[in-house]
Amino acid sequence: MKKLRIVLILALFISLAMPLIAGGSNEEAAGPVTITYWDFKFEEEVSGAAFREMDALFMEDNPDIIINHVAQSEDGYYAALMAAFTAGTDVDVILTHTDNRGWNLSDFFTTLDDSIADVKGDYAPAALAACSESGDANKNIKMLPLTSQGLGIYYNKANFIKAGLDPEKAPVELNEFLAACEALKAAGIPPIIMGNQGSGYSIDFLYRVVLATFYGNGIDGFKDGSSNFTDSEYVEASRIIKSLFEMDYVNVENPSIAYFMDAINLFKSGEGGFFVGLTSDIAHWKDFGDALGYENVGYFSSFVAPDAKYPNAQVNQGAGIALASINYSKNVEAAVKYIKSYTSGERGKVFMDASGAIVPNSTIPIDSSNAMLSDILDKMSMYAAPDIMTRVPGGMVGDFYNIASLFFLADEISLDEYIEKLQKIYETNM
Amino acid sequence: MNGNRKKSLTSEGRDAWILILPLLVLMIVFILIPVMSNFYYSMTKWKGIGTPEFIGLRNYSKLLTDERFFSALKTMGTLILYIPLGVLLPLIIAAILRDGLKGWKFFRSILFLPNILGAVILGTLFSVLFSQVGPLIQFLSSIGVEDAVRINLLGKSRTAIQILSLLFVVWLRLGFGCIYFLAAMGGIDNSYYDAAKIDGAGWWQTFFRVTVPSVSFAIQFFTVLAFIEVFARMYSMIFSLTGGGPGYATYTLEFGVYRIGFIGFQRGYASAWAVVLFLFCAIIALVQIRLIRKSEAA
Repeated sequence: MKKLRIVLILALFISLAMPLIAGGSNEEAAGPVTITYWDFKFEEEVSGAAFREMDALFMEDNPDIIINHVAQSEDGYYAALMAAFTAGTDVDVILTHTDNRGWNLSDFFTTLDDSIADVKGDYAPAALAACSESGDANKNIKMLPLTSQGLGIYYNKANFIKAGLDPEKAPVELNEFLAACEALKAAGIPPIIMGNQGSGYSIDFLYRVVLATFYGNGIDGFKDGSSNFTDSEYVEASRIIKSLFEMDYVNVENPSIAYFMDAINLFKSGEGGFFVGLTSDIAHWKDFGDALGYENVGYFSSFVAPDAKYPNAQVNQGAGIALASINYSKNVEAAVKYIKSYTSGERGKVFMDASGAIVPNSTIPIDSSNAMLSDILDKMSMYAAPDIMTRVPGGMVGDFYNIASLFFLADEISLDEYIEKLQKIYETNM
Repeated sequence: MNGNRKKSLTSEGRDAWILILPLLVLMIVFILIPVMSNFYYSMTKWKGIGTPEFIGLRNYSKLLTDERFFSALKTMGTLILYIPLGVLLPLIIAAILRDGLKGWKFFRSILFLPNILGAVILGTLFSVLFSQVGPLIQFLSSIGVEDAVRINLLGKSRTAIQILSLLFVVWLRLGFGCIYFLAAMGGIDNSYYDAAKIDGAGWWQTFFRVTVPSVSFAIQFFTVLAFIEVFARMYSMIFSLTGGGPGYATYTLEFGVYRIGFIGFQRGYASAWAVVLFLFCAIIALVQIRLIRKSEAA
């Protein structure tokens, strides 16, 4: 009996000790440093190939550093990051959005002010401001920008010709835009291609571009409650967008197809007249130019309602996605070296050439021979306006999709109810 | 002699404790402590990292003005209304199978299929099936239904919640219910059925007067299980089928805990939601315990 008890105690001790033993030692082995990089874009075909090449170039130049690039799913990415950081998981670098999703985790990001002092001037100030916890390009920098992101409206010039429209004249004024939609519809072409399944990104993106023309820098007010969903500007933008649905200017199946990638692919296949897209990463000038021919794609920042005060406004997030070094990492120095290299020079150019992303760093020359890209860059630098979705509380973004689907897609609530619900959820999340 | 017996019992007791200790530690670490700490976090403002700020009952008062919370309760009320159908249907099918339906082994496999596939696969499958670009709409278009492409069953609040209820509360549990009730019916003495036949009872009379009373405990237990699943196991199907929408039509407490806590990073507030969910689950657990005790006493 005594022996049995000893065996049981031993078994218990081993079972409790095993996880600790399996955890291994914290002692660093001599030799190259390994940087573990979590990335939600690594699985994408184009970006993934570019990232592999960038890693290879970095490791070639830095034989003492090994890059362990780990693909993560974008679904639940930030919840996974929080769990990993809380548990102290070995992550040295992460790819993050520069909106509230990323800032919610900023307690774990290394402050880069000192370590980037030598190269700070290479980054676009607007991009650095988006990577600063205080929105100031000169301090509290906690990420380095990989892309400069904006949103705008692309149109298919070949379909414009079929509908009897002038392909070289972007229908910027609201009445011109509506007339173009009508002509496209009459020609049997769905005027606007949208994808609103799950998260209604098309509705969301359209709001972003239109609201910029109504608010300009006043969009910043959504950060502190000085701008509200009950504002006449927001109500007017909602009324206009709703009218596009009511007039059948939006592809009928939009609630059942996802923006990423169904709607994008539909527009790339030559369907539709207009598409609200991005300026970097995906659904952008290169994506559509490569698919439809650059001569067949036009771009403008937004259509403009008669009472919009900022007709030239171009939504510019400053930075779209960025890299952050994790502050509890044992290899912060190597991690910072890696993210600096990744967002500049030869490595950054690999990403830009492959994906068409605009990497906001002056050490990477922009292809000025591409007229559409030059036009977009001009608009982004001259008429930059903030993006509402990076200003509202992160907790309400999912709810925005829920409520918007009731108003725009299900047609179950009135405009007044819609505005009231949005304002309420905004206040709940403030 | 008594002393030896006492000593031997004590040492047995000690061994029992040693054996139970790992499980006990796991339960304390992974269930008891999180549940208790959740009560504390529900009274804090906390995003999941950093120091929680104690705010008293403010999260609970916020809950009472939050549309999502009441929508979640309404959704769960609707789902609960489907539980009687979710219990009765497998019970009737099991009774038919018990009578010896020809080819029932085949039907059993078909009925059990949803259990094997699981909620995520079924949610995804049906989201495609009911989509405007899915096979159902294509079929309707092909037989000449005008504007069939505008039919968006999962995009309307009423149809979305009905589909979710039918799929999760009724269909998904049908296979398990049939097997479970069939097993319970295996214990019914055949003489009851013979007596009913002699008395001239029809199928339905036999079903309600003999079968149902004989498996009443199984029915009660299956009903309690259905409540538990509605309250705490629906997340995966909602996520893959409707995403909680349109609006908050298919939003449940469990879904809200995840969305608010893990997507919105309002862990303190989400903890208040979790406390409410915990209270509902505790009530169900108490009912379950009471039922078990009642059956043991009988």
